[in-house]
Amino acid sequence: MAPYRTAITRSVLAFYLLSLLWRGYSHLLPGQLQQPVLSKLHYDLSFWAVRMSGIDGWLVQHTWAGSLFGWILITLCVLSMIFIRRRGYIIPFSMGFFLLAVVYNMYLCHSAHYLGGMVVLSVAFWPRRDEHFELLWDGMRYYACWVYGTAFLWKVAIGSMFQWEAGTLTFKANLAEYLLHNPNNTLAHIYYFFLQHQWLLNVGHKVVYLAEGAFLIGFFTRKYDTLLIVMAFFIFISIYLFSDVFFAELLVIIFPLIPAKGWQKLSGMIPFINRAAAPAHQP
Amino acid sequence: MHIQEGKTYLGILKGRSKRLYYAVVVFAVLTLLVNASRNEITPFFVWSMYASPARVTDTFPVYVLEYNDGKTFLAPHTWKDHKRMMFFYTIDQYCVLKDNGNKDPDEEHASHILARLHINNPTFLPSLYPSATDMQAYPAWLKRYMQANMGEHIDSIKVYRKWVQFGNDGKVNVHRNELLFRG
Repeated sequence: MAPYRTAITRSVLAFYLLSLLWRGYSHLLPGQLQQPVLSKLHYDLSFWAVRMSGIDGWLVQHTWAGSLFGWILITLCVLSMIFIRRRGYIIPFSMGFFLLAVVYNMYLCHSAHYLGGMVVLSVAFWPRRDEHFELLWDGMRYYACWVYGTAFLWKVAIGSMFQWEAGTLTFKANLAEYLLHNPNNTLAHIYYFFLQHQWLLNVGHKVVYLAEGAFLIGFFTRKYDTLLIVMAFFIFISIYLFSDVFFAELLVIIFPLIPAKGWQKLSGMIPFINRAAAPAHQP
Repeated sequence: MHIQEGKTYLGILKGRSKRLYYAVVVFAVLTLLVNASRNEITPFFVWSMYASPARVTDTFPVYVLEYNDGKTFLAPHTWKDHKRMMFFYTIDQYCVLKDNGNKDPDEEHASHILARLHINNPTFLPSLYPSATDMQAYPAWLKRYMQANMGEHIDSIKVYRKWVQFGNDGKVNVHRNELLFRG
């Protein structure tokens, strides 16, 4: 993967940039939260540490500080895309993104995993040496398998896997709001069909779980990585349509599953994506 | 460098870079410990979404946000999906606090856990969880945030918790309607 480090870094960071811009559009960046009053810290010690340090208060209660933080994060992301080996950009970017994820979850009042994959993945771009990048990037592939593999194992261990009507109950709990507000559109009628044939929801629910379980294969072989990418999209679309959760940002975990051939092809199609920027003048 | 076949990832890592090897091992061990305790500590995540059996019920709560006397806040899907996040998760937290006597149940639980660790009445704990004063300020914040997010002047808001049931045809019927607050 080392020959494609530039292409990988730029593609993944472009994903981060899109996420940041999308969050800006959606009014989710700390400076846009209008001095929130409620928060939920659960028992996450990182949340506790950030609250006790007072950093979250600075970012959300002072609009200028939150806005500055957002712009710095976007600037660091762009600079890291241009100067891919400059640790002075990527390391502060990763740390800032971690802080963004913590503050977002605290004031969202929910420990959401939307940004979980992105919090971990950018660390792969820290090493100066390409050899070390390749090793960490390979580790991220295992982490991608861990995310969905353990999601499956937890369902087996805690019991959701063996609750037949879990599909229908989850669907009803998450789609009730949509059906209340949109009772007559085409999608609502499709949903009514599923509610009249609930076994389809229950079987589909288990199929999605098995698709998560398929990621465990990734710990033993790379042969099915392309299939796992397809599975990740399948899980995303299913969760979106049948649980009303738009987990688009978690799709970042498919990047480490893309084989070298894929990066080679991309570099051929868009040559500048794998062309390193000229090193800045060093006095 | 190619990742060699027949060798484990950690084996290769140890051979190439001791520092990276220890960093990855520490991350993996902490992730395993956090998973064993089932208490997430960012960035050591527990990916157990939807793992617990779903609650068996025939009545489901839905939050309805009305503004400017009768308009309903609708959250369109796809690229506008994230615009609704701060509304409904925070309303849910408001309800959790309201249903628990204006206190976060997590605070009580955290207090019990700390007491087991012989940390009694920690002074920092109340600063970690919302208070009744924060709850009182919530409707005004929701109005302020809604105005900024939607780019529309908001005169008034009403938030309802509607309990809905599904008919045999799949259609939703409102079973009970509760006004949570107005602002």
